[in-house]
Amino acid sequence: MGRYVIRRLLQAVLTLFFVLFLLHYLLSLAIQVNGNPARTFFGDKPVTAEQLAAVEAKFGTDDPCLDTIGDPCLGMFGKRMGDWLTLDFGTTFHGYSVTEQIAQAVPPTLILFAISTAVWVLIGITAGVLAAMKRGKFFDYLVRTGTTFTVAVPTFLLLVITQQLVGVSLGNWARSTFGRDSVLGIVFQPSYDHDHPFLSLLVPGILLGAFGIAGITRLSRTSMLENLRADFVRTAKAKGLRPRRVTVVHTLRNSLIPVITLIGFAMADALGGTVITEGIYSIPGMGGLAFSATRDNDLTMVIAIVAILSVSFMLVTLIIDLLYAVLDPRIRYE
Amino acid sequence: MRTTNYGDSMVRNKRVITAISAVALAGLGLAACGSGDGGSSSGGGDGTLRLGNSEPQNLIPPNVQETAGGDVVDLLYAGLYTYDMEGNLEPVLAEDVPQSEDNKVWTIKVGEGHTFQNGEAINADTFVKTWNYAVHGDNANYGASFFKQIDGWQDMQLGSDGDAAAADELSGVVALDEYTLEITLSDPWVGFPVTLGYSAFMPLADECLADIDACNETPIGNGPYQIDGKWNHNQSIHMDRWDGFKGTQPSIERIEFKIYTGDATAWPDFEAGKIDIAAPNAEQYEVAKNTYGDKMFEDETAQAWGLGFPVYDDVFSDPDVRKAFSMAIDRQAYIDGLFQGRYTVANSYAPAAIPGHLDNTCGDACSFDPEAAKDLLATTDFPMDKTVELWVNSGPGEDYLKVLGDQLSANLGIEYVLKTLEWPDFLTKKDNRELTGPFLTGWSPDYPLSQNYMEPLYGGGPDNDFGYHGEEFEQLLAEGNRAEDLEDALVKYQEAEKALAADLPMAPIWVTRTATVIGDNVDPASFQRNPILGTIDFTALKLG
Repeated sequence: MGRYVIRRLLQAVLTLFFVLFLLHYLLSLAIQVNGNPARTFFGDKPVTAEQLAAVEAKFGTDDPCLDTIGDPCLGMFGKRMGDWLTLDFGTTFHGYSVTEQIAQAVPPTLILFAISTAVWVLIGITAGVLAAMKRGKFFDYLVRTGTTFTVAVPTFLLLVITQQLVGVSLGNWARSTFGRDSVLGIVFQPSYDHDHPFLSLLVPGILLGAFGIAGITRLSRTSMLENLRADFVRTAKAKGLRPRRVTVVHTLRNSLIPVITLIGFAMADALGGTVITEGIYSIPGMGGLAFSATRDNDLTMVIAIVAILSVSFMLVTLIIDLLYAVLDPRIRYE
Repeated sequence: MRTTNYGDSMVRNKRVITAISAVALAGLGLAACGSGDGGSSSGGGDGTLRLGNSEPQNLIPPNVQETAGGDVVDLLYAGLYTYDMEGNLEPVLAEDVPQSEDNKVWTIKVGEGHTFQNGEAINADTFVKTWNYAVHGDNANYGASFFKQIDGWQDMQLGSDGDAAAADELSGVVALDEYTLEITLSDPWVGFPVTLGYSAFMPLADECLADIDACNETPIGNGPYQIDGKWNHNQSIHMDRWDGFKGTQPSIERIEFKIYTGDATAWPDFEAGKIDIAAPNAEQYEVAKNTYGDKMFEDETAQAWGLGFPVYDDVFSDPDVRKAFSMAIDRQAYIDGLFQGRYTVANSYAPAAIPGHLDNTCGDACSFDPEAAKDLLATTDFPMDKTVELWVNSGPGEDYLKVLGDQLSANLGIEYVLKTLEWPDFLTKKDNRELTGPFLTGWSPDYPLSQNYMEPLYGGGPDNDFGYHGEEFEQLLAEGNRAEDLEDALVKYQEAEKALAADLPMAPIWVTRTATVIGDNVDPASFQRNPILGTIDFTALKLG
């Protein structure tokens, strides 16, 4: 087990390095092709070469390699990695510490992910399991129709409609009926509230969870159905174990392996959904930060964000791989 | 000067202004919407006005370039002057308007007894120190170019290789005594005082200059409001009325800005009563107008848009070609179709809100006459078989230009193709004169003078981005700049504008208007927007 983890971590470091370099190269290329973002500081105004040089220095985009299309700017990359080793993550175009900005953006995004993961696990898996147990009954059809529906409605539309109906219409009713500071008044609002991070993130978190829930529900259902017919379940039943124990310990536990894998991927997918969700609900999280940094070609910030996302994703896959061993005694990494 | 920020699909209006950046284009300007400008009040009864904003780039007055920062800085700081609703200079910290014998050396009397919120006194020396900081090349402040006409400016800039500046002090600015400031220009210019109302000229405390980064987080202002706590990045900025302010005290006790991130806008929050003033997006405009009716205010801005021509290009060097293009544009139909009729047709270079504005300097060249346009184009060497390239930066401007292109194509019988570039690339190509066809261009003024819509863009001989050179135009501008008093200057500037319009290096098309909706707890009678600054007058605003 120990050797396996170490091998995985070494792989992860190598992958991370490649991801960062690729990103650095693409963003440098974007600046080389689209022009130096420092120029936009002056807008439409005429500008002298001297003024431009001063702003390029301030933005950290004064390296001459950014003027040659295709130049990989190895010097810039090496310097950045060197700074990182001393835990210096640099400053953004507007002079703010990247570390501070990210530290501030992480909590709301984590809460958002915690809520949507809870939705996947609690609602998605439960609905899938129940549907499998009641195969061909009304509940099964309800789950199957419901999942088709969540796949069919684009996330963006769902978010905007919910913001209007739940945040504004229902929220205004709740606020006038129960008061502005009532729990419902705070939960049903159209944007993030800094004073009540968790409550105001409930609705967007559930919506983000709706993104990807269809796959998890359906996979749990299929996986359950398959295992319900498996030999070991028949044996367990024949042994005279209580039905509840057969379902939870023997069937469900074994059915979760593919589902856990899917949850890992759903999280990666949801990163895209975060940008939209955070944008619409004005949540000051990683998605919004990534969105504006990419738009502004803010190399320092984008690279730091992607590094964090890559590391998190690798950790998630590592945890999932380790969970396999817990869920299925037949799987051991030796 | 402030470009609007488009991050959040908000375009906001800039305050006095500057060139509209791409950013602006996408954001504010065009749509004139956005959360930026407004906030709205909610709650009621607690003396607090709640507003929306996007994340400012910084809160240091000489470096503020966009509306998000401008809206905050204007409340926390006060300058020597501001502009009244007609665009006239109005003293705030100064005792009177600047005085000069020869329009080259100007003296300003700074009022006594003004202080910063940390207790430091404000005197002539405060401005000398602040302006040295503002202009020095090392600091790369956005507002540095506002001081350009002051003697010694060039010596404060870095060399093009980043070499150190020749001087650390602006030789044209000296404190004659504790409260007298003397400013020497490199050339006489009667319009100089008019530039001083912009936030780039606001004073900074010594404590602030000693640690600019700290001051950016917790501004040490001297204006009607004082920050409560610090700037909570991406979250909020709160401020309370400051009783030490000697100017007109506002009636609202507390203002809370909520910062919208990503591409979020304040509009849903306004509808939910969380903020008190907001600007609907273009898509929400019709609904908002029907829903809020008399609570919606539409105000004309000083932001003007048009179709620029590459005068340096062989094809477009002929003024008749440019006029034919301009006459083929049905401006009213364009505005009705694209902007729900909410913007104003432009037929002059300087818009109506700007002192020196003269109606219809463009004349026939800006009135729609497709027959005459076609005939005129036929008399030129314009190659009808060649596809015209129309240039724009990516964003909403693409749609704007496409509709223009369709009109030109239908009315002149030409073929066109859109050339879309990213904003930095577009600006660089424009600087380098690599645009090979007409392009969409917008301008917000740096100061309220019609000259600002002409000289920075089309003056200075053929070196400008348009490659335009009009001897008579430049002559008249120079006469205006050297005029004895402002009224004579404005007359000369009007003549210059006519000369410019006769050559038409840019075809004016529209002037933007803003739409703002206020909530129930704001007194509608107290709402007014300063057309020059582009901002709501918070001193006059009352909760009710």
